[in-house]
Amino acid sequence: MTILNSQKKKNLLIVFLLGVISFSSYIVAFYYESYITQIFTKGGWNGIFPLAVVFYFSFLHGSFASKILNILGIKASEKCTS
Amino acid sequence: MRKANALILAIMFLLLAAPFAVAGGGPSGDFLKGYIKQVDKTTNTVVFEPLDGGNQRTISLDEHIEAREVPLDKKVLVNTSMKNGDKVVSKISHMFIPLMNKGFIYMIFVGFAGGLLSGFIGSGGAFVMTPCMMSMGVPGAIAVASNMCHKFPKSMVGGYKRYKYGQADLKLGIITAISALVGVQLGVYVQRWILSNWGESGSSLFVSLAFVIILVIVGSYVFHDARRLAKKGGDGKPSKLAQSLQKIHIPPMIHFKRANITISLWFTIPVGMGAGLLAATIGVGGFVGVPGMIYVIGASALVASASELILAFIMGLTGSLQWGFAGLIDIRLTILLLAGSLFGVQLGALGTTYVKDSIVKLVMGSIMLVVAVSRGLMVPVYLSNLGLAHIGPQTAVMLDNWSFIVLVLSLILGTVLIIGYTIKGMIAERRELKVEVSQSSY
Repeated sequence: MTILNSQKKKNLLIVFLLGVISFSSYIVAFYYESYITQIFTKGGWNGIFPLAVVFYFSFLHGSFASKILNILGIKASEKCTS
Repeated sequence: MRKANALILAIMFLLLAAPFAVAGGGPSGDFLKGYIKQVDKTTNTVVFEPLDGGNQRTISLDEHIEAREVPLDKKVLVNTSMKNGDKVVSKISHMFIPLMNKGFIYMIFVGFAGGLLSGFIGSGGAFVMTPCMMSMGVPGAIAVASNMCHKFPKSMVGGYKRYKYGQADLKLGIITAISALVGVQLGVYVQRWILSNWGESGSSLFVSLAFVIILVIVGSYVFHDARRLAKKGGDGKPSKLAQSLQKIHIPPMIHFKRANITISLWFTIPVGMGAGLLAATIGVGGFVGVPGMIYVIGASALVASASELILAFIMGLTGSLQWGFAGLIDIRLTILLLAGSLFGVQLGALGTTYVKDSIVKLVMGSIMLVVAVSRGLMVPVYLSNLGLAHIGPQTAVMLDNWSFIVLVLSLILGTVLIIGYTIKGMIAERRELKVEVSQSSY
């Protein structure tokens, strides 16, 4: 029971941290939106920047979304995962 | 070791092909990015300063553009066209629209619904996301580019989830993606030929007609098959066509482990090429790719829709590189779409673990038919633009609005169906578990 509780707390802490980092990243992106869009739309090799940013968001925000769904009990069918 | 070598070769091919691939109709050369520094109302011309640091130049404005409406010293996207042998400005749009709270919520919701569709049926989203962004005032090229850049990470996350659930066939996805990249090239040539011979209205008419015909034929067949399977209560066998093709041994024969199929490579090529060709011409490759994998190759609907996500990831990545190099991705729109779609795609993916093949086909067929209606509504408008029919300007606006409303309805229909079937599946499984527990306790 204690192991289960500590595991739950650990999961909640990870979700909280991922959520804070993800939300802060969005705030930073929109705070500096004019600067960022200016650089990202210059064309040429600057075109790599948007791709790098979406990889960053997909890993970070994707993990956050996955863990939130898990905590809410929205999981894949046990028949499938087993 | 052989598998690793094949994977490395496939990745190298994709990287080499990337600069030439223009999935979903790539950036064309008829637009300019930069600032308008001056407007001359008497000659109806503007002084344009390109963003790439080139020299300032004077360009004439098309008759329908009012000189007083031209935004000065703002970053703009200028569409040009040829008139009497001269290049004229046909449209001026702000590159970056201001995003307010309403816009934020709208984008996140659209992203979520599109993600849900992608996660569940493997395709969909682009056909509605691009018009949704354009309805907010985003220029067409920016909307396509920003959507493309959000498509590949979404497909990556969805594909990974469905691979974990034992549904995605990596080999099937990569092989069809390689032939799809060739199909995209073919599609770009077809699109250019139509544009140069029939003009913009002719191209729009062709896209709409092709869209309606293909979606009605394929969508009706998928829908009919789903209803037949639902009545029988099983998941059904591969189609007769797929069964006969699997019996023909033309080397190289390929075994797809997850799909549990052995088929000649030559029969997978038309499926990938068809998906690529349609992605580049009418922008809905997935609506052909998934049914192709089901009825031609013989994969189940669950495996086909999951493997389509791998194809979408590869196509989206190569397409995004092109749009990124052209400097047309509005990263704000992309990350807002991702905020919703990363939730949606994972929810859609886990939803497939609760349903049978027939449900995936039912959802896909229904959406295809509703989208066909939306596009069909625009056919009279394009016929009128070409002078082949006559409708008044008010009717044209009304048809345009209804086309958009029906498109949004298809997205809502998809969302409701997917969430409904997922909840139904979850409740049924919990009931089964409860019965099992109570039986074992006796």
